[in-house]
Amino acid sequence: MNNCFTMYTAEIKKILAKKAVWIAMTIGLAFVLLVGVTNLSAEGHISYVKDSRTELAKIEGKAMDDSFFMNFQNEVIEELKANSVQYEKLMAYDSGVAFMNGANAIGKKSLFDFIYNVVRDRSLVETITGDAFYEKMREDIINDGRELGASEEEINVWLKEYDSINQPMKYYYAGSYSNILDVSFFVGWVLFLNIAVALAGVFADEKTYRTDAIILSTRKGRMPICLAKIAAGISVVLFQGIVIIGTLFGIMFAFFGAEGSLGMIQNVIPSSPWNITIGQMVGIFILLAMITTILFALTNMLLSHITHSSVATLAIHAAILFVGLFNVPKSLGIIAKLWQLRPTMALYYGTFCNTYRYGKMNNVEASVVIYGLCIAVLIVVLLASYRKSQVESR
Amino acid sequence: MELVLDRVTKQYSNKIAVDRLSATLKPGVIGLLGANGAGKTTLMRMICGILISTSGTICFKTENESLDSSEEMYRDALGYLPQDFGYYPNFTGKDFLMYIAALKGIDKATAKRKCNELLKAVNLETAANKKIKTYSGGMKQRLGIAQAVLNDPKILVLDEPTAGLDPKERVRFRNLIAELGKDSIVILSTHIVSDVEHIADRILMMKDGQFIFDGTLDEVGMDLEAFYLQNFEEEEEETENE
Repeated sequence: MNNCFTMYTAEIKKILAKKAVWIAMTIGLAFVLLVGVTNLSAEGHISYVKDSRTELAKIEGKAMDDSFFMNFQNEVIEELKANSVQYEKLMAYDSGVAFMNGANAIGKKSLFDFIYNVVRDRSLVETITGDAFYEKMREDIINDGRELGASEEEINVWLKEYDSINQPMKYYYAGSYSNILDVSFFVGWVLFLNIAVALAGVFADEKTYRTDAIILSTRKGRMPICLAKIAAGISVVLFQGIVIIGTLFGIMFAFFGAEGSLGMIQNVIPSSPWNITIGQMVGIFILLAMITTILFALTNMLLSHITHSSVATLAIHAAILFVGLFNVPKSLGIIAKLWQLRPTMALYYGTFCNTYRYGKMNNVEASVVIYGLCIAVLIVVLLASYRKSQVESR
Repeated sequence: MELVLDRVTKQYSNKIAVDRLSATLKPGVIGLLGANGAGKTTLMRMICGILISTSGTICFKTENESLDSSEEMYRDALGYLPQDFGYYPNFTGKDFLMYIAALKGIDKATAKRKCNELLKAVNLETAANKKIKTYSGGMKQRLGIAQAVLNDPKILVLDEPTAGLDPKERVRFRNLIAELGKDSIVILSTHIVSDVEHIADRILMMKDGQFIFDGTLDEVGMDLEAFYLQNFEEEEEETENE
């Protein structure tokens, strides 16, 4: 046990001794910070966001029924009438834009955006009722499913899930969470690139440093050291994941507040049929982030062992990430369906929308099962392959 | 105890590096001499279990057991200093030895004690906490020797161990090897004939993957260096005639 811990800490030390790991991590954190600031500037001045949060806190937890929408609409119209001498002209020219400006003026731009994301017509925001709002949400689930190429059976499963949500839903301002979802895909990419930089040399460097001969000739130089390397690699990238994702959450919470976790997911993804709260969504998001991190870490370490080259490992890992950016046309059927489960897409807000179903499992359940199996297979392959390592001529 | 090589062969696609070698090695210092490309390093790697032979077996036999070179307990009895000794530049000498001790399955308390003893023995005590990248070539080589003997190996394989050592260090090292050879099988590969001449109990000379001489210094019957040169001059002449 003592030996295992010494080997494990030595492996961690080897990884962290590289300047490239710290440079990549610093760039990653700078990127996350930049993303936070960019999103804040898109929402308006920091004082506006603060005032808006105070205003929206007054309606937090209120049921989004007819009276909720009516109160909002009346408030906006009163604001427009009171502060705009040209109210009639404005409303006649483009009532949607006028209404949006009015909502902005009373600090409820977020609420306007939320409703607009469902009705997708500015002028409808000023007249929408509770029933129409939920019916529009339901229609979106059907339309999104058809656009995706999902079967009627799949769409019905999602509709059933959506219908199980208690209506009217309660309103929660969740600015942080919607901003996190906006950038989660890019932040995931930063994390996956950091994994490549950190772990590309875990096995390859032994060849480069010519330490492989000594290691392989020792008693614990086969299975135990391989396990220590795997554990150290996973520990380092999980730590990186926690730091990068933690920084993302920290920045967003600092700018937009941490409130909203009790609200239903539809407060941040209106077209989602999922019957979960925002807090549960965050839990699933973090779980997926950790599993995909481990999956990428193991893939990287296996490449490092097979290629004996950190540069080649880095190049292949980057290629995997780039290939993951491309979509497969839905006309390809099962391939498109399986391609949707690629780990590069796991940290994407679309994960929580109505996507394909995989037998009785939804996309997240299928991802967890498939990634889990891949992790197990990668560990077995890596151990078996390392056990047979030889030191050929240099 | 003995190390038994039985028709050990290593064949690459177009070359036989080691050709059906058989020998039984008993405790003592065995000097392995041969020109570049004779197959010494390949043979040593096979003895260390880090290169699989194409055919033949390598077994370590004690009174109670017989261990194949692929077994974990075989490696437990092994100490190895490769020709191209590698290290981690950012590790200190002490960290490196502690890491190797863990790989050799030595418990932490014993490892600490052994590391301190060996750092003193190879004259690296004062540099123990300095990063290896700051070490001179000789210091690195001494560290390599220390890691090889950490586990008091029963089979000690040393591939060009005196390369980079100054004459004083070489003498010190020879004495250490001679001491280890009392209880262990020490296989010492080198180009430096004088190293072997001083301490080897048995001499194995390799040429084209085969042993061309296996005997004691007395059996050589002449100056070892002259004997060595004679054998390899013959080879050069044969090559020239071809």
